[in-house]
Amino acid sequence: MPRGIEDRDIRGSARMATGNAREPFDRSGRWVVLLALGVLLAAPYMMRAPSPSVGVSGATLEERVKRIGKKLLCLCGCNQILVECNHRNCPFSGPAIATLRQAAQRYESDDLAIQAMIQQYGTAILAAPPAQGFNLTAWITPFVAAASGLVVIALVLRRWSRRSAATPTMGAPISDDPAWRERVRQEIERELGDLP
Amino acid sequence: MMDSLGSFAVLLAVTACAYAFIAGIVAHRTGHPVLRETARRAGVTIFPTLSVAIACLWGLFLTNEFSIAYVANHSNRDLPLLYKLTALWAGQEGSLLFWSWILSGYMFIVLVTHREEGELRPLAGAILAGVQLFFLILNAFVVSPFRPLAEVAADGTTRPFAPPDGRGLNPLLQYPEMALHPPTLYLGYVGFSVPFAFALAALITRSPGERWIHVTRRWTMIAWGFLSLGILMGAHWAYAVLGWGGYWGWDPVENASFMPWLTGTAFLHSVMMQERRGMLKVWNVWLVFITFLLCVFGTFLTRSGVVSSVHAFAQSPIGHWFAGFLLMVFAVCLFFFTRRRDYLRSEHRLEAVLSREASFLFNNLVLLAACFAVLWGTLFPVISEAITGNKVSVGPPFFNRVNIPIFLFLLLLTGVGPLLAWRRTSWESLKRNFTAPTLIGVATGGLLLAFGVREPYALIAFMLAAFVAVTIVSEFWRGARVIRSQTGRTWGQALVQLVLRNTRRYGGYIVHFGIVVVFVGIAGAAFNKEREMEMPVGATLELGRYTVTMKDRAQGETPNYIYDRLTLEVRRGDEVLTTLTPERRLYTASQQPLTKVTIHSGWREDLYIYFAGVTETGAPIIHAYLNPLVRWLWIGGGIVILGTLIALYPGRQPMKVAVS
Repeated sequence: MPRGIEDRDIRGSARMATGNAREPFDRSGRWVVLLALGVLLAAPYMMRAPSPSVGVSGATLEERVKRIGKKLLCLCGCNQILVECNHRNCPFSGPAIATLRQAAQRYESDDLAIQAMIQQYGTAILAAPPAQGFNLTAWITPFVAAASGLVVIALVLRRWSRRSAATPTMGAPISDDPAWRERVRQEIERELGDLP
Repeated sequence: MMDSLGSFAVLLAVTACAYAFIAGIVAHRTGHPVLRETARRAGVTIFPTLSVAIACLWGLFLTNEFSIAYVANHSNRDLPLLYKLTALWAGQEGSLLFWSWILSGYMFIVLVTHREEGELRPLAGAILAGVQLFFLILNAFVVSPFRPLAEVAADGTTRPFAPPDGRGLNPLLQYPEMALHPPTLYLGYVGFSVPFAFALAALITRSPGERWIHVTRRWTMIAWGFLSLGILMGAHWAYAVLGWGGYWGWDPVENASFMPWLTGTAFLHSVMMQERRGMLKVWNVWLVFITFLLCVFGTFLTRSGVVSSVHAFAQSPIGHWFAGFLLMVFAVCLFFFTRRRDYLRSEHRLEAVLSREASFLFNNLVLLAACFAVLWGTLFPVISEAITGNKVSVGPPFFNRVNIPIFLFLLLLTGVGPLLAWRRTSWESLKRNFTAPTLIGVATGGLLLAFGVREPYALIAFMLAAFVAVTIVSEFWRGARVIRSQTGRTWGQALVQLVLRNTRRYGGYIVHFGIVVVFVGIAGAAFNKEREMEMPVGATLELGRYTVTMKDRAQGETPNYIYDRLTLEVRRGDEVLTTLTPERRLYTASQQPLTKVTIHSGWREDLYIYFAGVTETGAPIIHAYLNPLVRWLWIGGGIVILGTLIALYPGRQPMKVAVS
């Protein structure tokens, strides 16, 4: 067995048998809850528009059409980004891109051009749901679910740590007991040999 | 003749399967050995019987029997032989028969092997027969591929009808990879039925010991490997055929295959907690159930028309059947779970957060969060329309924004988890194991920043990839060093011995390494470039390091299609690299167009050329993409499959090495 692995595990096992397990769990539980809060705070960032909403000066009309078109979806049923739809004779993307070009010419702001497209084709043309009203749940729910999962893990860890603390398994330090130490070593060697 | 034989074979299979299911259940309740054996034998006969049905359907395709609706709708006389064979799974009816056939193959293997499982195998066989029966009923009575074509005469009577030629195969499916992608994907989907059957059987019988979990894990790994390969080949097909320059579009059907892959991956990790520590039994059983349910759900999505997708089969009432089956399976799982819950009590508790067990908990949470995000995004348009009455779309921007951070965190755990010790890891060992990988990861980030890389997600992905790669390489190096010092072998021999000594462990590391390479390939997408240009003969297009010159344009026809072909010379500097010939085709039988993509693939980037159209003056329009690092995605996928194969290979006993 590689020496590093052995050291790592034996020290770990020794500490497990000697230390007070409850305190680290409580501390870790707090970290997990903080992580859950972090996950929740990440949701608004995810909802943010990733590119500027005002037309970048100097950008050609075609560049703007391409940029705005990447936020829109082809509604022919192909589920492709509007400007990436490459179906020959697609009944939707050709006329929709022409409409977008007109909107981009008329409005300097990308947002206004997008609004014009929504007026024409409905909100379904947006490649991602707008972060407002009921559609907000589309963005928030995955993060709420992940954060809830973290909280559940924190609660489980806390419960388990209390049970561990209540069980009378914490004896004297094993480092002074060569037989016990050898048994732990053999057990770990067997387990590491069998499993990753 | 062949259609009658095929129909008869399917009906025979239904009968045998119904017997295997009912007799298997009765035998389980009564313990009658003869009934049990006859149920097993009935189950074994389904595979050869369905093989006859499959052979008949292939025979109908090869003999151009257009009096059969399925053949007429998916083939034509001039269709090349390979595609006449692959047309078997091109449509709803044939693909469901193919599904049944694969399931019967798995069932055959289960029933002729696993003799050592005692009571578990007969019941698992009966459960598999129950699943099989559902599909066979569809094959026989709802969507039979042997249904003859009929026309209504003037007097109102119907009579058999055979058109002179078929409507041809969808051009998008006329690609060599289509010979392998659906079968491997189905082997994955269907394969998850086996661990499901064993898990449910173990729950019902309160199977003693952990033997069932070993069986379940092994079968899950097989199904997972096939599903990985199927997804990979599907992505490659999309890249090489669809012509939009990408390989993954978060289409509902793609998502349907990805979700069971995520939960299957979660199970393959958390099952180690049960094997090692007798923990997470409830969680593991539900992961197996959910993975199977997601496979059925994916099939429901693909075949019901609930969500729109280019990959989906036509909308049909078959969706109701799948919805009913899904609910029934869920109800059965829930019923036995509530009745046998005491059987799933954990034997140990988690002892420290800084431990391998905890890393598996987080890994499972992240995988399930990713699965939920994909499921939620896929279903949100339906949910939103049902609640608000407004249609919304959920496309790639949503999935990318939500999933990229989740997957980056997963990549981090890929590196961290394996280096944590079971039970508890000390801070000292943490420092010892992670200092070098962390420094190399940070150095990689610094280097990339110095070279002008500013895309935050790509930067993080490359840093994490370097970090994880170093942790994996150090594991191999450490193990091989010990073997070398003990045996005096070369590094190569020591590495081979190390891997053979514990194939599961090191196969797993190789899978992780493959995932790292896949991430590198995906991260390259942050630097994609594209350009569209009108290209009359002699025109030149510049993109990145490449110069593409239009040399020639030719039009012609083959028996299967007519084409408009361009000849493009690709140069880098003064060196001529290759000649590419993108085409626009019109398939004669189906009258469907297709654009053939051409790709010049390199280690650094792909030059991807698409013949986008023609101008009003008749000049061709070329859309060129420069896609960095895509080749690494396919290589990474190959490494994942290699690692899976190694992990499935039985390992040798661990070598005893003296510890100083």
